[in-house]
Amino acid sequence: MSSEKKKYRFTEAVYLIEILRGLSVTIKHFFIKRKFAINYPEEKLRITGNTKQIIQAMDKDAQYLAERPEIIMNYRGKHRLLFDGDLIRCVACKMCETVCPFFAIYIEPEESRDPRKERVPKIFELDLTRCAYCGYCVEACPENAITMTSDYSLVAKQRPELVLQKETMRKVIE
Amino acid sequence: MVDYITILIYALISIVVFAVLLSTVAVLTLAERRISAFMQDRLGPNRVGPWGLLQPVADGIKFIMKEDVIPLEVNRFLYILAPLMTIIPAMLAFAVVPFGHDLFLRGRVINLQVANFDIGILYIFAIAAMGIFGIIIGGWASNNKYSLLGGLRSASQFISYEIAMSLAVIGILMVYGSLRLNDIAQYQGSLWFGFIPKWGILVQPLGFIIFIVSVYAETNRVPFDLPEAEAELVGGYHTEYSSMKFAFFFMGEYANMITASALIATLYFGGWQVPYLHNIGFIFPKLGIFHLQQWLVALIEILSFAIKVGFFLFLFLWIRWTLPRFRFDQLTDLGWKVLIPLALLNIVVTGALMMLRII
Repeated sequence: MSSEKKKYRFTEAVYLIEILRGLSVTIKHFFIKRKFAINYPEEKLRITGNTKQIIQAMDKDAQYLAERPEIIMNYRGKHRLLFDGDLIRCVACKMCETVCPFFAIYIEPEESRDPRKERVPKIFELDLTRCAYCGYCVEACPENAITMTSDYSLVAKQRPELVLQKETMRKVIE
Repeated sequence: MVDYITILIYALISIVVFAVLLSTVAVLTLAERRISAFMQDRLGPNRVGPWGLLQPVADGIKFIMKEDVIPLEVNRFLYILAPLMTIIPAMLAFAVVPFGHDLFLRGRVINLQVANFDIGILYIFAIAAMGIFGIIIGGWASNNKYSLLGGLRSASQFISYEIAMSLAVIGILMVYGSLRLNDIAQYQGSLWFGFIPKWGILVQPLGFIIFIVSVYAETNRVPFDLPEAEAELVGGYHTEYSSMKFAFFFMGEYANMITASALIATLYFGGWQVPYLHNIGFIFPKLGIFHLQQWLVALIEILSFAIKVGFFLFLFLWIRWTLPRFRFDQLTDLGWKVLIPLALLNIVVTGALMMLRII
């Protein structure tokens, strides 16, 4: 038991007035339009802003509520493989496969038919059920061939759908 | 001679009241979750049906489909009896609550309530006290230390607050001079100084505060929900219950809330009274009479009663999502050292004011 009793102001001691104050807070939130939850499959998060903007906005709480950027641009989501026109950038050097802490990437190289490259991946598999989205593969890549998008909505009915293939990760850069 | 048509009408009224009570319980389970969500800037369940209105149906189906587990070491008879002892009194207590003027129907007087007892309010207290036995027995029969603690807390909490609640109501009974809830509601239509309706809140402001606090404790709602304090007692008295048995406890709690709200509205907010509305229409002092059909009057009164009860149900939820839970010693302190002396003071002051013919 505490030896000293806290001194209360009169309004706090009566308790009922403080209850009214509390009730006014909750009713304000009851009528507030902006809800933090979104109706997920119908609504999705807006992709705006970057980390710096978000930190600035969070400093001013009210402003943060009003114009909260919902997802940052450099968010680490689903991967993509870049293609220069028809030609894949990847040279099947297996740097990403080596650096991946979760063994999520599997590459099988083959000889390139294009004169500009020696080898290209025949199979490039990325298992999203293993991936932790650490982004090491992106940093390890010497050719900037693999990058990440802000696509966070990874839903599938069967597990094989979550193993990305070369074709499903294709992103053509003009 | 027995008047079969009157019996038939009352049977119809009781069926309608029962159906409305049950569907209000269903809506309340949804409202609790939606309102709590809104107060926390969330959305709440909105998937099943428009605005999630079919969620109670989904919950009901889920409760029925669940396995009904009876643990091995429980006292089987009491274990099965307890949920029934909670829900049946909760449903019965609403019977004496009036929701409109008497209707005159071809020479018959029809009270808009299921049963117009002489003992009215005493009946509610007696039946509500039966409901607490369900919780205590459930806690005992479960053979679980948390359930037992929940049941014990419920018992001591009930004893502490029943006194304060009854004493607060004595003030009302002194002023209105009747135990019949219909008479009490009727009396609140009379005017004070010619224009202020004599509602209980104006006549008995202190009694109202004592009554509403005690009622929150009686119905085991936050901030006095110690019998089921989930942070301390897992689930309290219903820890060991599953499936429909748990649903009965749950529905019993909500039905008690509805009865409590109806009681607050009837005793302190005029029940079905609308200011200046009498059974022939609106009568404004010095302004004249505005005639209305008795059906229309009854409809307005039922609506007014529903709005008042709805507001107090909302208040129950609103307070639940605002206040933290009391500690147990604070709870008993508040009951015995604050509310009971204040209730006694209220009786003395009311008596003095009645002697001076102010109320």
